[in-house]
Amino acid sequence: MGWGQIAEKVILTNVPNYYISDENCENLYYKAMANQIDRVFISPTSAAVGKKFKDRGVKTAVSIAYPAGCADPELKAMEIKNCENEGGAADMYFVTAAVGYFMSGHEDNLQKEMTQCVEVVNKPVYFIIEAGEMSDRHLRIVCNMAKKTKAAGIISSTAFMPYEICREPAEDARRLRQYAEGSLEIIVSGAFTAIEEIEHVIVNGADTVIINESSKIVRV
Amino acid sequence: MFDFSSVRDREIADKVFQEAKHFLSLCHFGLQGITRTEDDVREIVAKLKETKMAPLAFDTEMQFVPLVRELFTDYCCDVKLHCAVSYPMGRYTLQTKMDTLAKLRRMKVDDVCICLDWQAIFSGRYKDIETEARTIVEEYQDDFYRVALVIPATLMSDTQIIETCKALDSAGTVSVKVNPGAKLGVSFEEVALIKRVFPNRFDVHPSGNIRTLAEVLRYREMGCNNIHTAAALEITNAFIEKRLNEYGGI
Repeated sequence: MGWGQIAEKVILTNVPNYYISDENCENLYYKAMANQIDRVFISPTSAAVGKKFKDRGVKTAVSIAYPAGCADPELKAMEIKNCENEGGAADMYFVTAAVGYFMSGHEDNLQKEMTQCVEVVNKPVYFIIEAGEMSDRHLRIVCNMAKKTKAAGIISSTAFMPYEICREPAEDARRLRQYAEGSLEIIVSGAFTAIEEIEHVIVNGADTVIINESSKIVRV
Repeated sequence: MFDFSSVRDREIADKVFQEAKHFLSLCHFGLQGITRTEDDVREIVAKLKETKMAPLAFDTEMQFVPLVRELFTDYCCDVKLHCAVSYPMGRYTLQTKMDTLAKLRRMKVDDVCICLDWQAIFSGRYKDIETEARTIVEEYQDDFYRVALVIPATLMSDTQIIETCKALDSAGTVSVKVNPGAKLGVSFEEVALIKRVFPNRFDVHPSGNIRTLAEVLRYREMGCNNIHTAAALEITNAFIEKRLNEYGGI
């Protein structure tokens, strides 16, 4: 695959990084444009920068409840509303699901957060999980719920490195694709260091891949 | 946890137990993170209950508050519950932080920390930091045991630490948590800098990468009485052994 084909399937992000200034965030957009990437993933506190780039051909995804996902469903929906009220820089939202609580048997909570977050805004809403920590049964339930609630897709991982979590991007892509079938966008997030790794993940079923802006894959 | 029945002299055993109880009461203990399950919470609460002591607060996620409360109902000590807001990077909007705090207040959580907007800190927007801190402090300062505002000191220059603390000072902040943990660990230099530039001004909570008894004792000597360490029980054990050695109990 050439870079042009890959770039169409890439979202560039700085969300997992600790050190982000306004300038870093602007550079994220410039880096995306320089690398023909048309989606970036930022935090709510970066929305003011996102607004400046609104009509520059780059779409913006905004994180909700990142990285722990432990806020309750009402708060997640309120966070989306707050982001909309503060100027609506987002073209879509990436909501971290309450993974541990779900894995404790609270499927109703996941159902609620998916329903409330999708219904509160007329934009695509995706849910971030930690697929590597979840059983096949869990993934099947997550994907079925996402389809039922009209979520736009599933993101395989927070890629937040301080969490000591098992992450196998290609395997996550394969497992998620199996349950998502054709109706959910599968986005795989990981610490990618080479184009071959991205190709491997796409071959295994990912529609899209999230790359950290610090990765050497993206040339300035 | 240390088995006090192995100490022959009951008087020494009781004395050291009381001292250890006080020692642990200055440290946080708990469990947080995206994949933590109720089983993990039960396990860690059971581990704490073996000590018959209470930490300064038990750190947990909002969803687990009812469970943790229930697990401690039959415990010998009163355990305060602590939740972190916008943890660890402070990326929620201010309104979302306020909404979350309102929810925690309704849930009667005892103690909170809130990560400030790090992007504002790293961009030198100290006025925004002051506004954020003032909004939080004015609304919630009196509603929780502690309302600690978290700064990523390890990623900041001395100037950034001082300017941020000036903003927090102007906003009327009482407690400052120095680093969130989550791989960002505090250093003695960071705490010393704040103590030197703002003498007797802030209640400083060191956090992250505190692994040994010597480190906890040094932070206490520096005047910190609210210490976040994932190794609180192991360090309390080391404290017990040290005291028993000193008193001739071993």
